[in-house]
Amino acid sequence: MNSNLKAKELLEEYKPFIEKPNKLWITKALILSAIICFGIYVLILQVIEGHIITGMRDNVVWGVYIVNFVFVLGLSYAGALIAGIFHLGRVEWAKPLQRILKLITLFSLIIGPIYILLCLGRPDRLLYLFIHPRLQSPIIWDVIAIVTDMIFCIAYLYFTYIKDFALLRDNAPHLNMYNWRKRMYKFLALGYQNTPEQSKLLNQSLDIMAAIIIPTSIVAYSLLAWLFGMNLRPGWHSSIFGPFFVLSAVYSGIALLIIIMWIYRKQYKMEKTFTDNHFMYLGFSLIILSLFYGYFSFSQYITDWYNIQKTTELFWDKYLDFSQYGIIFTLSALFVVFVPLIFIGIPWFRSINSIAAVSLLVLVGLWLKRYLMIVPVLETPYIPIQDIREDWAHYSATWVEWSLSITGIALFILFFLIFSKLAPIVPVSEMAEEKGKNKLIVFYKTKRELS
Amino acid sequence: MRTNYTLNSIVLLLFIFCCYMTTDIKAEPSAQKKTRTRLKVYYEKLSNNDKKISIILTQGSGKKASGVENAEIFLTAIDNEDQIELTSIETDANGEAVLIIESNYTFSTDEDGYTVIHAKYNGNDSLKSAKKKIEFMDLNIDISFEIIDSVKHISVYAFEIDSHGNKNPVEGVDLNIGVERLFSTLFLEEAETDEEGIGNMEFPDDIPGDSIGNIKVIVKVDEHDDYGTITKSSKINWGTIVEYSNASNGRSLFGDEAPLWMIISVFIVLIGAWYHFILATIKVIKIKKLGQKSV
Repeated sequence: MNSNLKAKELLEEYKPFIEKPNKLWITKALILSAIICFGIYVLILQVIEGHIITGMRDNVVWGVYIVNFVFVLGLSYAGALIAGIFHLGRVEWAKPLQRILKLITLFSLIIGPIYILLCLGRPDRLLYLFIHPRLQSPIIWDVIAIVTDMIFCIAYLYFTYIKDFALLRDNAPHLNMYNWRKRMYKFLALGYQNTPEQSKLLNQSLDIMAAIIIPTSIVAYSLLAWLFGMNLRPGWHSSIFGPFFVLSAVYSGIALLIIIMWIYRKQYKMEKTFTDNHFMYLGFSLIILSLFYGYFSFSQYITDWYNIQKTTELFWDKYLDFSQYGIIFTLSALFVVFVPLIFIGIPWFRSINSIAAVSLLVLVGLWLKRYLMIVPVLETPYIPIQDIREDWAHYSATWVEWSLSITGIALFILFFLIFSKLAPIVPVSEMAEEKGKNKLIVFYKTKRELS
Repeated sequence: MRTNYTLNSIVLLLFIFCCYMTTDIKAEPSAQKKTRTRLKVYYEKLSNNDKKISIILTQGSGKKASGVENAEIFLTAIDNEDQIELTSIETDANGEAVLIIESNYTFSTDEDGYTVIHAKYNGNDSLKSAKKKIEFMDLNIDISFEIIDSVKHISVYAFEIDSHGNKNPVEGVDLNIGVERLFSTLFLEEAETDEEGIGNMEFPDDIPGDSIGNIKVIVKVDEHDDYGTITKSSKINWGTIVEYSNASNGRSLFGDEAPLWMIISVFIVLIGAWYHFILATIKVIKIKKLGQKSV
C-alpha cells in the first residue's frame, strides 16, 4: 500500500484525538489548570515570604525541589537518549513510542529547571550566573548542557513533526478543527510534499539530530552527576555517579514511557497501537535495567562502606536506622531492584497492569533514591554542627514544597493533553512508511568511497 | 494477560506511604505516666564581663533523653537567706535556655562569698518537676602583653574584688591560653596562677594573624569548682602578617584559572554538537525551498 494512503488511514484512526476538544478534555484541562494556578499562588507566596516557608534551612539547603530537578531532568535525557537509539537502530516496533519519548524529553526539560529556580533564595541574582560564568564550576557546565540540550530537543521534536504537519495540512478540510490550526499546520509543514528530495533531506537531518542527541543527553546528565561528584562531601564524591545517573535516567524514562502508554491504551482503547508486545519488550528491559541498577548500587555502596570514614559512617547510620531513613532506603532498593525481578520476571505475576504498576513503583523508588542521595548527606556535614535548631539539622518538606511538586506533575500532564491535540500522539507518517525504506545515512564517506 | 487490581491498590498505598515517610511526624507524648525531667545549669563569665547562665532541661534518660521545648524555667537568687525571684526563661526546641546578665548587675553573696542561684521547672501534665542549684564566686582576669629580650610574653592576672574594692590575687587557677581561629580556639599552653595570682606564657612567633598581624588571645578557665567557666580575650599584633588575595577567585570565562585542556575540550564538544545541529537545520531549510519550488 502507498505510504501516503496508509498515513491517511492512520490519521483517520487518530482523528478523534486531534479534532476540537470534547467536554472531558476541557474538564481535565480545567482541573489541571486549577492545580497550576494554585501552584502559582504558592510560588508567589514563597517569593514574598522567602524560603522560611519551605523545609530548607542553612544546613540542608536542598530538599524536594532539587530531588525533583534531578529526577525530572533524568526523564528528559532518557527520553532523548532512547528515542535517538530507536531511531538510529531503525527499531520498527518502537515507531509508535517515538513521539511520546520526545514529548517526555521536551516537557521534562521545561519543568526540570523550574525546580532549580525554586531553590534559589535570591532569584534576582540568577543573571550573575550568565554574566559572571566560571568555566571550572560544574553549575556552569550544567547550564550550558541544559540550554544546548533543550535547543536540540525542541529542534529534533519539530523535525519529527514536519511529516505529520504536512499530512494534517493536506487533510485539514476533512478534519473538524479551528481555522487557526489549519493555518498553523501550513506554516509549520514548511512546504513539505513528501517528494524524494525532501524526504531524503528530512531523513538525513533526523539522523543527524538523533546521532547528536544521544551523546548530548549522556554528557548533559553526567554533568549533572558531576555537580554532586565533584564535591569532596562523603556520599557524593564518587566516580560512579556519572554512569549511575545515566543508567537511572534510562530506567526512569522507560518506566514513565510504560505508564504513559498504559494510560493511553486504557483511556483511548489504543490496544492496536500500544500492543502487548510493546509492554513485554519494555517490561523485559526493566528487568535488565534493574539488574544493572542493583549492580551499580552495590558497587557504589560497598566502596563507600568498606573504607568507612567518620562522616560517611554518620549518614550510613541514618540509612540503616529504621527510625530515620531505613524505611525509605529499604523501599527504594525493593522498588527499584527486586519488584521488577519478581513481578515482571515471574510469568505468574506478569500482565500489562502489573508491568505498569511496577513501572510506577520503579519511578517512586528512583525518586526516593535521589532523596536519599541528597537530604541525609546534607544533614551530615563535614564540620560538626552544634547548638543549632532542630529544623536546621533535619530537613522535612513543607506543604509549599509538596504543592509545587504536584504542580509540576499537573503541568506535565497538561502539556501532554495540549500536545496530543496538536498532532497525533504517535508519528503517523513515520509509522506509514515502508519497512527499511529509510536507510541510515553515512555522515562521512569512507576512504574507499572517496577513491 | 491478567488484570491485577489488587496489585494496583498495593502500589497506590505504597506510594502514599512513601510520601508520608519523607515527612517527619513527631509522636505525641503519652499522657498516662509522668516522665522524669532533669535540669542542668552552667555558669560562665564572658569576655566582656557579662554573666551567662545556661540551662538544659531534658526528659527521659540515657540515649532516649531529649530536650523539653517551650518549658518555663524560674530563676531565683539567695540574698540574706531570702529568695529573690530573678526572672523566668523559656527553653528552645533543644530544651536549652540562656540568660545573659550584664556586667553592671551585682549579685548578693553569702558569708563565704558565693552567689547562689536556683533554677526550677514546675512540670506539667506529662512531665515531672525538676530543680537545680548552682554556686559560684566572681573571678576577674586581666591579660597583659610584654616583650622581654625580643621574647613575647603573655601575663595573666587572676583576682577577686572584695567588698572594699581591693584586688586579691587568686592562686592555683588553671588557665588555658590560646588564640582565636576561624572555627574554634587553638589552645597553645596551660598555665597555673602563682601566689601573686599571675600565670605566664611565652608566645610563639609563627602564629598567623590578619593582614596587619592582629591576633586575638583567649584565656579560659574551664569549669572551675568555685568560679565556673571564665573567658577573657584581648587583641595584640603579634601574629605573622597574612595577605589574603582574591586573585584566584577571578570569575571570567577566558581567565587563567580554567586549565587549557578544559577550555579546549568544552569548545570541541560544543562546536562539534552545534556544527551538526546547524547541518541538520540547513537541510530542513532546504526542504522549505524545495517546497516553494514545487508549488
